[in-house]
Amino acid sequence: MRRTMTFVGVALIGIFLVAAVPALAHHAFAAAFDETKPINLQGKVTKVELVNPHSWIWIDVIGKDGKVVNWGIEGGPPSNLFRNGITKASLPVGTEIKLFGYQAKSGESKGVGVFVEYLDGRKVFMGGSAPGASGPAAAPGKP
Amino acid sequence: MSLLGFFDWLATTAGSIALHESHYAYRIVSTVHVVTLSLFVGTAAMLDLRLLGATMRSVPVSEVARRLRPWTAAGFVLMTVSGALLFYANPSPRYLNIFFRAKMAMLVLAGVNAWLFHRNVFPRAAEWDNDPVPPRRARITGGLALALWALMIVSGRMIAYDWFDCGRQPQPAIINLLEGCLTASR
Repeated sequence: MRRTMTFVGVALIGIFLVAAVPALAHHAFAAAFDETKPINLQGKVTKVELVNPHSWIWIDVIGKDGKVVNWGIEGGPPSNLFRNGITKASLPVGTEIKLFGYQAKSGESKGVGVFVEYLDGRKVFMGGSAPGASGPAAAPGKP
Repeated sequence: MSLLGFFDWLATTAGSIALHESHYAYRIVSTVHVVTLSLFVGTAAMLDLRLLGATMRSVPVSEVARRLRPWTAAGFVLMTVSGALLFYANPSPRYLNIFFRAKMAMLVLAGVNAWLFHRNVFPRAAEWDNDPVPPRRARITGGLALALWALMIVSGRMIAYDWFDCGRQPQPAIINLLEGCLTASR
């Protein structure tokens, strides 16, 4: 009986330890995104997908040649964005925003976001896998 | 309705939205999935290793199987239910993911292997129950099971790293076929 209790106790501690590891790391930054390709976009929000395991903010960016390119920028899960102040209501379609992040290694018009900047200067961190995306305090600098 | 059309619809149902927009539920479900698949594959691996003659060689195979079975079964049920919920949260992106498809293929192959074991090999286990190293057909099923479950876990982990996303064109036709990229827009 005592051994059973010990076993159950150890098992429960193990489960809680596993659960305590932030379940954020669906995939790692370096596998999909390129640290040497920082992106700095400005455009109008076309779609906000606050979904697990990663959220996506889509914006239409007008290039130098006048062509509109729809960019998809990945952020953390909905709870992280919510904590940082991004909700469906805070980013209505059509809002003009700036997005800072790193482009996908594949060269697609996709990337991972560090932060959203509103035109009035407010910054909201995107809580994903990008370096610095958890906020200024947690910014690790160049790895 | 195509399968993809069905999955697109599935993502608009209340349960799927609740899961993929959730703040906590999705994390809890994915944690349960990882913990219970460890329980399932971990205990299944012990039986497979016994079948290979690699562990518990002095314990009868039937005894190892009998003692592990409730844990393996519980792990399998919880792993499958939590896995189905994870699929339900993002049906179409998973359906259009080459690693998810590989994972399902491994699941089917591992299922066939287990079925063959229970149909052809295990019923005659009394003949070699106490053998430290079971006969070849038992070793083959054990080895196959170990390999298939390992490959299934690797494919599952790779779902998050979809190198062959349908948006990444041009891609070889075979990749587009395997990934299920039906049109340029997907």
